[in-house]
Amino acid sequence: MSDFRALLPTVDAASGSSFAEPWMARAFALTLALSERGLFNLKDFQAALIEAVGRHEKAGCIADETDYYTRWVEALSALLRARGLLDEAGVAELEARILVEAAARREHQHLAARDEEGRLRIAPVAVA
Amino acid sequence: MSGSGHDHHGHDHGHGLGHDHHEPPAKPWQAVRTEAVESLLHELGIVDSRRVDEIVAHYEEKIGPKTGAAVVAKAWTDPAFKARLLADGLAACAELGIGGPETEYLHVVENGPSVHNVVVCTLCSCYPWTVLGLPPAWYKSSAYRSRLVREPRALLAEMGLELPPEVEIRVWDSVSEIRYLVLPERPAGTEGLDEAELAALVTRDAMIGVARVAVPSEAGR
Repeated sequence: MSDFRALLPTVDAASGSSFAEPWMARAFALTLALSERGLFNLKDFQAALIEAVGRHEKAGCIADETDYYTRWVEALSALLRARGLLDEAGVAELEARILVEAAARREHQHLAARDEEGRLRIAPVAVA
Repeated sequence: MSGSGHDHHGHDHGHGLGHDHHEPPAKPWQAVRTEAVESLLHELGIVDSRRVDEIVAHYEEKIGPKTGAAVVAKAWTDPAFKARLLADGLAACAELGIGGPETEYLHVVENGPSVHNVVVCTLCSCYPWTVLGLPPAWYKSSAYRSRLVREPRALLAEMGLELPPEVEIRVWDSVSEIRYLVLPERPAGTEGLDEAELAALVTRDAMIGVARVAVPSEAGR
């Protein structure tokens, strides 16, 4: 099956222990940290994850790390919501702020990296 | 669109003019959600972000298939340990200082000349984190999880493991309560190797059961 073949190169990858993206590591570790604090146990989380994976696989499939860890984030959100640990309005507000900050940072990097003609600026920002 | 050509804004993109500039992609929603949730729970004192950092570092740096490889090598060289490992995987690993809150029960399944074991989690991604680290991407894929149960022999062959028809394949489905670890066959020609040298031969894939432990060409010594 071609979709499986696409995954084969990773079979030989030497390391199975690193995360493809930082947010995947954060979501994973946040879940373990919450379970350590006794807010839920890992079996509860597993059940939420199974549900998220099952819902996704009705229409699609899990083919890469993003597909998988997206289900992880969905499961964690759902579990925290069910336990009343997630203040929906607070999360929405903070998400909006994070996006604005990320955009501002990108804009700054963009402006700082190029001169007026759009050429990459390669020069020290200060010399003392 | 007006077609006036003035829709382009100021700092022109000059695509294709040797002006190779990639904007960093916008933050994915999953990253934003994770950051927001962690930050809120941290502010509330429900979780400590420094603990989250520690867990990330632990899984990035300390835990990995090497832990499982050490267990396998010990089992190959110490028959009494092997017996204890097969009887109670968790207790035997604890003897080596390996363990953690994630595993509730670790069942070790032994490969032999006529039996080959292989592990999957059909429902999600259950995996013996404490001995193997985090699962590879393919382990979590829909394709692996469904096909290993339906057609294990064909799938293993596609992954490079051709098993003769007389070898029975046992597929173990991990769940949150029980995790499996495959104890691969010790390759012939490794009699002269010590525990550390043997551990170096044992791969993650062999302990999941999608590969054998290969005999290194210089193993005989």
